[in-house]
Amino acid sequence: MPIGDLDVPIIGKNVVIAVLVQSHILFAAFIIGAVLIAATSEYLGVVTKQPRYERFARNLARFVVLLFASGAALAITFVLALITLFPVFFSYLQNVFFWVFLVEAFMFLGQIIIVYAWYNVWDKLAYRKIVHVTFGMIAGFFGLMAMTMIDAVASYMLTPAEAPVTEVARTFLNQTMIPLNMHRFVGNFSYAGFLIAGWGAFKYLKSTREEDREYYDWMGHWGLIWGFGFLILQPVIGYGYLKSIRESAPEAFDTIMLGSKSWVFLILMIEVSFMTLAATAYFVHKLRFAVKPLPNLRKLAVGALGFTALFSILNILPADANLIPQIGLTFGEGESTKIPLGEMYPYKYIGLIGLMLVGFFIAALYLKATAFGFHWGRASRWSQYALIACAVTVVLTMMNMGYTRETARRVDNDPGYLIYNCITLNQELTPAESCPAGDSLGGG
Amino acid sequence: MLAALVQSPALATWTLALLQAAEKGAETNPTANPEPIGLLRFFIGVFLVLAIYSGAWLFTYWISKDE
Repeated sequence: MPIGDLDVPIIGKNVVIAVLVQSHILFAAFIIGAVLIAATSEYLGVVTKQPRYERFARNLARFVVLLFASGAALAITFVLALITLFPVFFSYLQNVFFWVFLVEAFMFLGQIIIVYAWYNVWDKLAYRKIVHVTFGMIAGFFGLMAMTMIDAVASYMLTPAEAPVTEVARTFLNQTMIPLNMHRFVGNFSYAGFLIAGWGAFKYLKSTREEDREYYDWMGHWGLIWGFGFLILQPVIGYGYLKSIRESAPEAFDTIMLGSKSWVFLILMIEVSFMTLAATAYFVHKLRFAVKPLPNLRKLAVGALGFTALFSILNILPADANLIPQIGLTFGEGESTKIPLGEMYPYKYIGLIGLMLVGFFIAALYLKATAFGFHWGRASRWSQYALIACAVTVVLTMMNMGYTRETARRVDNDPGYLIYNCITLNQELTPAESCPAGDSLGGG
Repeated sequence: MLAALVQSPALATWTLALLQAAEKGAETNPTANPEPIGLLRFFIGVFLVLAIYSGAWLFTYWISKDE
């Protein structure tokens, strides 16, 4: 290597990148989701004339403006660390995705300018609300575009296109780019929604004034509608993403779904099942406070909670007793000891489809009750703990999914890859025959 | 309290068991992380992410809570 190979003591350079990117994503995803939720809420405030939407949108916008610095600082630090610790890899990445990175940088700039403008002209545009809402939507659009650009890079690292890197369209629209982008688009709303619900619950528990208790009770409900509503789309979209990984990088798919790292997916399903159960239990509880009593709806919701539990069990059962081989957590004969109802096909598929259908059912029931309204400010403490638990779990879910996607490229660690089958973790180019992009990226 | 936790025999036993399990896993499965340091780095990474994330949230909350 022509330049020094730097490392970081104790934690190593891989962990430095992982920590910076993971922390950045946790902020970036929240900001994109929150801006769009706030702008939509502001619009709903205009349409419904309910002041709580305006209060919510403005507070959320202020929080986004304050939080933006943390996310942006981590992004810059991450790029700096990548250039310093992985200079060869970064040079290739920058060469292949020069225009993508450039567009991404301008989208980021646009997002900063519009988000700050959106918040600062809140009073100035008080009588031109539609113009103001449009500001918020444009800020969200810039954020989504920045995410789309970086998704092209991230997806290419796992599934490089089978074409020379000079074929811009095929490189940009590589095999998993669209599914990943859809998955993250939906995920932003769900993640931000759950965090908002958790925040509302926390403030509800701390509030003593009746007016505040009503507002924060509503805020928990409003956040959960976004969080749960978008979560139930994920089984189908996530399946599409996994299908595209299976078709383009089968060894990576096998590692995270069926192989020695399948525990990461089991943990993911435990987290998703927990959020679904907690959200459904919250809905069942909330239906007690519907303005128009709906006993039948509540009975149906209790039934849906039972089905949610049933499908959750199907999703979290491991396929065999080889639970976490990396730390020696195996039982019986390990891989040859099969666990009933644990196989991927058909049980996990039944579990996933079941969770989604029951999710749609309970969401429809809840939205019907929402149309008549609720008595706000009467929610129990336990229902608020459920929202806070969802908020904590969604953060862990994001971390788990980030780890899963990045660890998929390691397969058997012989060697692990930065760009799958093209550049190894040690920044060495593979022979051109093994790299899908051929000698345009491989060693030649 | 932290010092007591760090010096506790239970923590040392647990850490040793974890490292031994990691070594066993590395011997029996080719995809296992070959060195116990990998496990340590994994948990340090998780801790750092959570620390940075919750720290930034708390700071943002603190600077804005009186508005």
